[in-house]
Amino acid sequence: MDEGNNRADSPERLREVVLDLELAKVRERELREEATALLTGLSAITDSTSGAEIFERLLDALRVPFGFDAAFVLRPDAEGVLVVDTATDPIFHGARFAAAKGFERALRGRVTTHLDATLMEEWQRQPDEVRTRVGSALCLPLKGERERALIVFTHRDARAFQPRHEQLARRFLPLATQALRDAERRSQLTQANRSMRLVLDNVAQGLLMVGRDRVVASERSAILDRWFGTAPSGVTFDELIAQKNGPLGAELASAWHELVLASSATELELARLPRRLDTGGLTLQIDYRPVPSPEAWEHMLVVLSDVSAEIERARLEAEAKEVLRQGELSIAQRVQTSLLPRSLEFPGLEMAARMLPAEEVGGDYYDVIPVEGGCWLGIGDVSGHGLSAGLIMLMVQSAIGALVREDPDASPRDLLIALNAMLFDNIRRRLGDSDHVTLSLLRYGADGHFAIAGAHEDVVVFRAATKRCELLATSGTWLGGMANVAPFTTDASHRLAPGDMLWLYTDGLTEAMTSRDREQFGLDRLCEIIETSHSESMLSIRDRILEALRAWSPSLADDVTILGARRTIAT
Amino acid sequence: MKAFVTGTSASTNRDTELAVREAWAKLVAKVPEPSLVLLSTTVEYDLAVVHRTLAELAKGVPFLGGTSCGGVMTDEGFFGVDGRALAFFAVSDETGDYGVGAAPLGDDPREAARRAVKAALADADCEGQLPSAVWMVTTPGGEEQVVLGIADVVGDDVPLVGGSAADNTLEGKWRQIVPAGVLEGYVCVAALFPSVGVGVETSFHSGYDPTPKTGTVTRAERRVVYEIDGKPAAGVYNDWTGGAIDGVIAAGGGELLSKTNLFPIGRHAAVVHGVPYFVLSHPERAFADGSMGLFTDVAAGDAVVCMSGSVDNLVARAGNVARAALSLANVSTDRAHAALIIFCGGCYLTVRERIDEVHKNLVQALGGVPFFVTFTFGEQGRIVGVGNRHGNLMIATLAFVDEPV
Repeated sequence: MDEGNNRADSPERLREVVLDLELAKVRERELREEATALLTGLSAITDSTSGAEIFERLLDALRVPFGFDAAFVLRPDAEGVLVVDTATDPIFHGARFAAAKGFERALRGRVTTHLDATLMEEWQRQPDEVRTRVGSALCLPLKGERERALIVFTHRDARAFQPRHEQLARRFLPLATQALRDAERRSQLTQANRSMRLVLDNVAQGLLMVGRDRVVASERSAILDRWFGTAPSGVTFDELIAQKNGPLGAELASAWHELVLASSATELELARLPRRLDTGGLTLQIDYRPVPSPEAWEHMLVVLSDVSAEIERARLEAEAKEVLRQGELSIAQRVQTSLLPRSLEFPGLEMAARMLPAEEVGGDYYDVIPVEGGCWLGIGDVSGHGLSAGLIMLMVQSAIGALVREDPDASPRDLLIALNAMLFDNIRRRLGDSDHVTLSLLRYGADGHFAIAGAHEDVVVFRAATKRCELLATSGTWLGGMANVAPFTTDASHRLAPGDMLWLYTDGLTEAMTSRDREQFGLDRLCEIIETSHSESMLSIRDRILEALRAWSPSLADDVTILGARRTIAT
Repeated sequence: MKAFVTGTSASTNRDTELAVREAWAKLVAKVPEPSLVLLSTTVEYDLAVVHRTLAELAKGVPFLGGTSCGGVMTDEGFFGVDGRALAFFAVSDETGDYGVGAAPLGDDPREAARRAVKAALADADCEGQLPSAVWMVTTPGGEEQVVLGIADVVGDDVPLVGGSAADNTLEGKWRQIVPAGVLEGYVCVAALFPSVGVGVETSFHSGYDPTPKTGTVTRAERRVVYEIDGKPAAGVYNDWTGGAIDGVIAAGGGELLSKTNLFPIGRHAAVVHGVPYFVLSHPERAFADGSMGLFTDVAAGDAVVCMSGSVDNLVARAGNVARAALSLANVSTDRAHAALIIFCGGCYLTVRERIDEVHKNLVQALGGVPFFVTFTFGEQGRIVGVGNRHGNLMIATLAFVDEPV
């Protein structure tokens, strides 16, 4: 190249230098404006608290350098339709655009100018109010980490956006893209917070931080607002509590004061703080954790847990259990009473019996089984209560019935040994239960002799000759507790003279207690009633016993069974 | 296919068809899948054959060309053997969009330009959109209206670079060539939408200085100046140039191009810091009535100045203009992809003895990237801060560069 032709002092070169200077001035001014707008845009990104705010502020910052009438952000929805989500002009709010050539080209990453919106399919499909406001548009493509979006500037005039705007737009793209990415991150964060909030809401726990001065920090779980309403700034924890329960708030303030005075927040000191707040339908459990340590605590992390649901759940569970129990009781009672002997008629004996089931079935048993030349009497009590006791009683009843039918002349001992074997197998091995049965079996003969075996309550025998009662102790052991009771089971033989009575009963009778001093009804009282009313019918004597019992203990804690038999004729 | 590839080729083969095929083969060796092909050919070739052969080879690729004065130039050198040469420029752009449109100038060049540019936008499938640049080939005459017509559609700020087709002998053999055929009296336009990351920058300069000799056009009609300062224009011009066209005036008129190459008439395009910026009008003919024909429109009231140039200036000018384009784009040569250059045919005729120096300057200014030069009878370009203009004896450059990140 000829240097002489490029000397700066040639008029032509001087003109070009001047031109370049002018251009540089223009560029410098443009760059200054751009820099200002960029800084404003950056500030929009860094200072905004939400994705929407980022774009609102960014668009506001870009208005001057781009000179647009309106601007909006377009994002594709799940179906690929571009939807306006932030706009400077309300007419664009919610507008939807099918991506035709113009927007498609922009979505491919090119800054695109719509010189004449009337020629563009995207705009032709818009309603009149939009079309009349848009002569031209400038589209900035944004590529986020998860999505693509467009910033669209519009102007009423056609050809309002020219190459310098495109050039400017390209320089703003990194900022705008950063805005999108920031908005995405904030959206993700919001979503994560929302999820966290959902979790926190679901666990129904509220966290707050309380200073030593009892002032509640402003950052706290939103659920607390739901529980206590929006608390004013500077509210103290005791004031918050007092809104729901005044005395508890005062208690808290006092305990807190003591806590502050104490050298450290020991478990003992913390235990003085109220732990539970009951307020119309809401029960909150309050837990405290000194921060940073119990020894040098500056704040107290307070966790309020809504335990209303747990309490309600426990109540409902108890209710359900009760319903179940009542159902079981009903069944057990039906079982118990339906198996009682329907007839107590037996030649040579006047009998009376009654079973009073307690509120919860106790598993009492009695039976009278007539056999050739006599009858079998049985009375017993299954340990435990409820349906399982009733079922065992049912087993006992069935088994004794079967055994007696099989061998009416068997000794009570032999029958009890066989019964025990069956019960042991059923209760221990099959039911996996630990219940047992106390039972006495008595085989009565027409001649007044009877044999008795099995450990139960003493038998009360009223002697007509002496007009006094005597007690026949029973021997043996519990049934169902061991495989073989033979070594412990013996028969005892007795006789009833005409007019003599025997009374069998369960401990529900003798152990019934007064509610006041818990004194037992006792055998003496039973014998006294029998002795004083011996001349009456067996039914009458039975009723007197039961009346006395009811007077003694209006509510029965256990089943009460009584069975009496009087020898009526001499044989 | 690479994202953005450019290349050039040329031929001076005596046989038109062979020349086209030879250049095409070289072109597709560099740019296998062109998105757009630009053509420059001298009228020594059979233009119909050029068109037919190119259409056959290009197979649907948009192409646009015009006739050039004296020869063509690419990054590989100047081509012109006995005024015979043709050259291609191609761009392959995977995601860019390019389209070509043409319309007959008729009586309304402005409307023709509107139609042509709209057709080009539609051909690029970018109807209604702003192109990165417009490349144009037109016919001498009415270029000012053509520039306005293009601005009507895309605005005045879109870089416009182009030239008016030329021939070797000023016989009006200039033509335009587009897929539709070899055209006469048409404005042809290519709309350029390069892909992401590729930008376009232009520059438009003359190589002339103003002299103290100035005047005001007092009577003119389109491209004919009748009077300057109330006196016959040819006489005034002859006085300004110290009798450069004495002989023609004495002969009662005649062609002036070769005698006025170094003394164009300047018109103010802008004043920058008090310093006037000129577009040039090339006096091409003197008439018996003392009037003078130019290659630009001129109007009564226009302030005109006699410009002065030198061969040295013109030799250096093309390189300077190309360098200016990169400077405007604020990129160094390693970020330039290619350049399209419009070089005034009149200037070419003035510096043809030193055309290799022109080439050398361009190679140096552009750092070895492909470039394509056509020699025209009227230039269109964008003056920074002013807008797109038509001028004579100008050099315009359109450079494809990396967009600033």
